[in-house]
Amino acid sequence: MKKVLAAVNPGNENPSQTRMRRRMKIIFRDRYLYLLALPGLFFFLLFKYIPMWGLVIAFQNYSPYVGILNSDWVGLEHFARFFSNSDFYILLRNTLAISFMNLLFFFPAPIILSIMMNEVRQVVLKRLIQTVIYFPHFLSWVIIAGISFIMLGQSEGVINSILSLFGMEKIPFLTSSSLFWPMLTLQNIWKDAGWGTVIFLAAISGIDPTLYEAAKMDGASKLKQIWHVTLPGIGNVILVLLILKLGDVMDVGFEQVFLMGSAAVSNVADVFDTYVYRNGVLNGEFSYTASVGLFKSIVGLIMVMGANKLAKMFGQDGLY
Amino acid sequence: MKRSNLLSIRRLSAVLFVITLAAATLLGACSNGTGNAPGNAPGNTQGDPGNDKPGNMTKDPDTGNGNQEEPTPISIMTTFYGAEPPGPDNVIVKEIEKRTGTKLNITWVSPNSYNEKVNVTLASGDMPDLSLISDNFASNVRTMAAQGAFWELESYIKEYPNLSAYPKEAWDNTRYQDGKIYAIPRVRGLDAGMVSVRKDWLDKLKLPVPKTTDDLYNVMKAFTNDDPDGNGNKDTVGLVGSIGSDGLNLGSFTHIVNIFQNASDGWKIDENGKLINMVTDKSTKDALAWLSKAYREGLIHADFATLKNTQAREAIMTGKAGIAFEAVSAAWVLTEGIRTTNPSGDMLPLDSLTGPSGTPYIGKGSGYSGVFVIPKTVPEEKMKKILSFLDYGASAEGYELGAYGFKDVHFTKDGDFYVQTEQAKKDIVSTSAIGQIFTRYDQYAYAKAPNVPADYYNRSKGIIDEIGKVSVSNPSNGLYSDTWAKYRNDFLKKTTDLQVKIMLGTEPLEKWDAFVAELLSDANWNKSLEELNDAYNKKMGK
Amino acid sequence: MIKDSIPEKIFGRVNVLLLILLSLVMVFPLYYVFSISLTDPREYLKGGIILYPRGLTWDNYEYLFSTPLFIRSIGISAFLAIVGTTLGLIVTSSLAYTLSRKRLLGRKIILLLILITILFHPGIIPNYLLIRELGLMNSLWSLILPALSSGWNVFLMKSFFDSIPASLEEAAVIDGCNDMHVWWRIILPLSLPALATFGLFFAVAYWNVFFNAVLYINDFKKWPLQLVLRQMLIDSNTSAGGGNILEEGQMVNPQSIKMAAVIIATIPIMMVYPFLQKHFAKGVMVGSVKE
Repeated sequence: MKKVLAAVNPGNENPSQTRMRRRMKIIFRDRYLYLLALPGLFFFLLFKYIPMWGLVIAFQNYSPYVGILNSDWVGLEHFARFFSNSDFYILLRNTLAISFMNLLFFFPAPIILSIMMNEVRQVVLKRLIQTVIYFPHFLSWVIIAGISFIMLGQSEGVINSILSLFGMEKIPFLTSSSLFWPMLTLQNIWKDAGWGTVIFLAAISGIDPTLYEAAKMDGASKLKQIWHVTLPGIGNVILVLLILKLGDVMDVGFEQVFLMGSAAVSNVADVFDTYVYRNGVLNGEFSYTASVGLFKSIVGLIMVMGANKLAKMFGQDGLY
Repeated sequence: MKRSNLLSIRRLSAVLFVITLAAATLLGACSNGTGNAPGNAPGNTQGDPGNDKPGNMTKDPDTGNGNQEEPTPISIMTTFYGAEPPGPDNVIVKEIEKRTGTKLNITWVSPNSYNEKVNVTLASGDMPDLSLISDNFASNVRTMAAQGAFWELESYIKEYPNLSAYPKEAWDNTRYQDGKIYAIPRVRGLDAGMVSVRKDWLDKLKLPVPKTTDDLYNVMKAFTNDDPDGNGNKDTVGLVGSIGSDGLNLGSFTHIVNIFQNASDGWKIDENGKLINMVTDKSTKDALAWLSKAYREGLIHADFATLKNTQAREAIMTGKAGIAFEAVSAAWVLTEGIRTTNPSGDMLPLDSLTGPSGTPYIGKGSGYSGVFVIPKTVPEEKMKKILSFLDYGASAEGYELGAYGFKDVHFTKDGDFYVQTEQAKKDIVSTSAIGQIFTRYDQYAYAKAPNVPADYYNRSKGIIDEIGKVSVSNPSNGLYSDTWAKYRNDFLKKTTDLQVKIMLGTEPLEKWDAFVAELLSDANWNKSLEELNDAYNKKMGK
Repeated sequence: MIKDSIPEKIFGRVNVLLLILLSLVMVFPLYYVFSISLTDPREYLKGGIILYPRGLTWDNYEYLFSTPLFIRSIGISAFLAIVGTTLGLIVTSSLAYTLSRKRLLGRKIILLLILITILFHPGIIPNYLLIRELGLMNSLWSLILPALSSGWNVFLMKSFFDSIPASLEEAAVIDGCNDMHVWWRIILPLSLPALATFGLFFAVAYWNVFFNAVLYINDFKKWPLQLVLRQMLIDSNTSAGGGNILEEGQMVNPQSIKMAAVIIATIPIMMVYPFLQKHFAKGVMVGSVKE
């Protein structure tokens, strides 16, 4: 057992046989590791892979009653309908714009926030802030939309009431197309930046404190410490999250967009998710819904694989 | 197909699960025999709770012991409102079982996500004997009916006097393309009403009850500018409403457009007997001009485009607005809300409004909301038993028992009114529970509302009688077209978007002409209308 | 320790000030929601913005606690959260640890396969059929088992384990431990901050179970909290005509009762975090254990 970890010696047999044998040896060596992975792998097989047959209904006119085997195959018909839809470009533009604004402004927010919190010395204060700022995460979008309407409404909204109190003109926050995307991003930051700090704070707490001591010895300023110690210390987690986020570029959070969007801002608020809700889900058209979903997934996969490759080129571990 | 495959999956999973558990026990100890305590933990946690709560599944009622008469087991899926549904031991459920000779197994589904639950249940292949479906024209339900999943009922219904007593419209409106009836409508009042106005404000400003859209405009103006609540501030607005929550119709404002079109939901049969959609008619543009002018002059709630229905109602109840496009039953709910702070408040439902066409208009409902279906897997004898069960529920006696319970225990009667007792609450006897299975047609259903006082109720009844004289129904009800089904929501969405923008003034009215031109030249639009006309002719037996 | 310099002190002060301001912005909704939850529904109808509870009343909470179904559902959700979190941590951390070991043959392909499960969703029907074929319908296990792990959690947890040096396990192996012992006796105790974090994620997810419960649990006596709460938010007072709330224009309970429901649904799970925080503070240092 103790010796197994040592390198396995190649023998004199022909190469392919050697490789086989070497692999078997490695697998045997790591048998406990594989055993450890078994429950998890079994979970993914059972609950994630077995239902995957559901994806093929994207190529059918699926009727649950006759089942997947007896439903008609229609090839790429649903995809053709989706791509030839005259609004496809607008849907794509809106989806990408909202996604990238989130990536640009919402994604870094919890990182910055957790670094700031890490610098707070007063333990009680720190814990208090932590608990408070993660509260909005627990509010559903319905409630948040409700609060937003109270704050931003035109006739009685708090902000507009204050504006008119000072004799300024009211701003149509909720019906203005140009303010819609920034509003979504701000809402996201407000709702989930605090919650996002949980994972980064955990990562920061794993950083070896001697590194900070060493940096101080070298006379590094606070900002330099953050740059050279904290950030690299959590870089791994940031990278994993970022790559996974890229897989979601086609998902923009249906509930939020659906609740905040209105006919007044439809030209910027109609995204793939709202489109498929309208044309697939509401109608009980499972196959059309599935085909749009599949399209989104494939784009996500390409994004993730691309990002992963890029990360590797820069010498990072990446996802896999 | 799935069944055999998945059965082996179950076996495979069992095997793998055992392996996993065995692996967990291998966590045991290091070879030098140090730790033994923590090693057992994972195995334990996995095994332990299994004997607990999840083990007790509900008993299968199909195996329930028969009495001497051998009650028919019926499984039902329906929804309910309120905190808790009645369980199998509920006194009313027991009584219904006794009187109908059945053994009920009711799956009560929360109205939250009811449709998803229906969809997966339909997909699973083991449907209950009787299921409530909220939209019998949804693509998946229609497909299933066409594939023969449900009993076709028309020939049987006449045997059941109470079910046959449902209005003909309600039955006809459930009809599919092939002219067949596959479902029992969850029957509702036909005349729901459309709009109500603050009567006390009208009186205060000495205005007559509006009859036409011009009258309505003047009332809106007065409600906005003439301080109807008399608090000295200009803090009221004429009309409040909200856009449809799915963004596919103008919501409250649809009614105004329909008044101008003089067409229920925009659908009409023209003088040549052709089914037409009035959205491309000039009357729609006139309605938009009316609406956008009203908004520009501040007569419509500034936030209407983003308001939710409940918020619009709050604006009425808090006395911020005086006109609401809501059903007669809601008029009382709003009045009750207003009266918490202003006892003289009164929302008066109108029986109709007359647009530029000169004909009074009010829409008529389909007469049902959701349907019950019986799957073909149920044998014919049992299907008949289920129908007679529903028939009992539609009788005066059965409906009273299901919705109100026992006289003097759960309710006392005061004229037309059922006054519910505390015991009724305790036993969960309510229209929100069994009343979601047993339904009975009541012409004045919409006059009823919780806590409604007799004078208000009687006035509403009179108004509903008046509504019945003018109301028109939507001739496109139940018609199906492949093209329309596919593109309908896109058309509706685009129409609504532009209409709202014109109302807000962010797009000029001229844009509407361009939109109509585009629509008229759209191949899918024209094809939809053609197909719907074919369907209409077929349905009318032409 | 080296003393902070003057600019660093300023940095610290400004930082704290900013965070306190931010906290105020974040705590506002909590305060707002709480105020409404204590407001008399009739007072609420008078309109205006509620900046303090008007007509202070606990009735809204009493209403919510008035049914046995509600109290039972809290127990059920707590059960789901505790059992689900424990099992979820075991399943996910064992797999994530394994996959963080670079010597593992087939590691890359397994990771890729797990990645695919993050991106591709087969929809609710296949999942429903699977649960049914497994005989889990109407069992609380139908809510626990399908959420025991997720690709997202595996990848993130793996990134925590990645930083644990191989030398550590080599030392243990020399002591005669196999890989499973190493994971259980060395890796897990060293990863408390990570476990606390993911424990929180699991607990929140299980506490908030809603949709799966709609699909898989027919017996209303086994409904978890979120389902019962949302059910209670729909008004029980309905009439024959309007008593059909699948239709548009539904009448819902007063806003104040909704807000009381939000508070009840949120506060218990929020309380979990402060208890976990001490694990973050301790933050067992990998480096220091090595010596």
